[in-house]
Amino acid sequence: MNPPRCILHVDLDAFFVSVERVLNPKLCGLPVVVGGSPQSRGVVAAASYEARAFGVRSAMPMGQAHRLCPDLVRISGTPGMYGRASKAVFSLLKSYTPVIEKVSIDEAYLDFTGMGFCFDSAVDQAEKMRIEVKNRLRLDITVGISQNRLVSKVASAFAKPQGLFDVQVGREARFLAPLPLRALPGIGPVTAKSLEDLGFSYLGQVAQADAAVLLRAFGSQGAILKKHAEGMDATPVRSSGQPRQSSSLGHDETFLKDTRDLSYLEKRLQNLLARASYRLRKKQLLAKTVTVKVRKADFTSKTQAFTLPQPTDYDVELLEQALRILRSLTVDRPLVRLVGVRLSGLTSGVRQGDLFDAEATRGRKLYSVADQVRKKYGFRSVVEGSRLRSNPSFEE
Amino acid sequence: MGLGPSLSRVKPSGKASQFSGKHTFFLALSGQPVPDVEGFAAGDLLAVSKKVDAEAGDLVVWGTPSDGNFALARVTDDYTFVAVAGFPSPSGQVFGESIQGVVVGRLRHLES
Repeated sequence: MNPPRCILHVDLDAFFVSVERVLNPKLCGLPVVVGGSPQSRGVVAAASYEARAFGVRSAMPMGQAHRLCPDLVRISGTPGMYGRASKAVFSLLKSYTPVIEKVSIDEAYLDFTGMGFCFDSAVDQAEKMRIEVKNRLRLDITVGISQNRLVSKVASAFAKPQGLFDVQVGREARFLAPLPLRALPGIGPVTAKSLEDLGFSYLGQVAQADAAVLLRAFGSQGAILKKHAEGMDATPVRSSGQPRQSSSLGHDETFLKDTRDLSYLEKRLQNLLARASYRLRKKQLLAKTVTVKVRKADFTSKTQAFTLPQPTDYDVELLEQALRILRSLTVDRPLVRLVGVRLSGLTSGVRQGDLFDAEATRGRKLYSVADQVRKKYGFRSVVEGSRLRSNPSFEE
Repeated sequence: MGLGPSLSRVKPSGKASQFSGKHTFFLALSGQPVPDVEGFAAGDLLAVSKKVDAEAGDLVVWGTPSDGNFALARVTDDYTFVAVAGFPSPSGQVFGESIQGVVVGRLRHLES
């Protein structure tokens, strides 16, 4: 019988702010945010716990953050420093286990399974790790420990900041049961609303729900939702030698001023899509679904997705659908603040030329040459004529 | 409950405080360490779920909250309850009524 898995989720507390505080200790104890200026319609990238006490949150417009906390100290950020600090933290964590998967600049999963100190002393190891990170790098980490990634992530969220939470072996479902729906990764506002409409308020109710009810409401995702609510997740921790394939990739852009100008929106969307499809080809991936998001000036957002008959990495095929969605989302000519595009349903592979479509084959060859130039001189070294920027007509 | 380890109800700081209350509560472990119970140490906060039924193998909290008396016991495979190190034995109690919840995890806030 295999020993129970022992998975740690390590999360750096208020990472960007903490790095800024290492560089400038006078910021300690103050409500600090890292992000763009309100004049350039910047948003909050990270907020200190002192700022969060005023209701300031990540992704909030900076102007709103300043209104909530008039004494807010804003730092633009120190380019390059966060990456260096992250590298230093994770190379230190690697001395505790060879199986470590960095999932973002400030988050990683560590697998301690079979290392002899599961479970009792995994907590001691985690504590040593935390003290070492604090002493050597002056940064705080929070750790969640359980048998799987999903529950460990919830556990670390539970323990923030500067905490450690270990879920008793075999008690994963019981730990999740009384928690609100949104505590589970993957349950966003839309899914939570749908679950509430079905009469669920807590994760325990979802775990005990009739599978057929969830299947009807969420399709195949319903079964996954139920498993997750039961605290089950078999996803392995992949170390750096086994890169985890992204489930989606995309870009969005917030405009300097809100606009109703559809041709401008189309050009910006085309630019975002070109970036996304370039990344797709660089990673030798194909996308099946394209999703476009439009955020209006009143901060309400609309998204719409289209799934292609077969996966592609070809801009022209993706753009055709993206533009169609954009037009459908802006049919009432709303004042738009942001557009974004996301490519999902990713699979490994490279699309070959089409035997019966010489034009598409030529187009693909052209993009292949453009990609080689971009690889050498950067993404902006090649711009399609149709993507050249025009001045938008802004609302006064 | 005499000498040895003790448990007292606390409100945790940080994010855990949002989950404390109706269905989950926290007990701070103090006094004599209990090394044979999941590696718990003095200062640890035990997360106790009121919403779930005790099952074999569970560590449960029993006692009388009105007196502030809590203790830990383990549910055995034949659904009897045995005391865990340092805590008084539950024998002789009206046990079903005095179970306060199931320990689902341990929170340790590390001092800076």
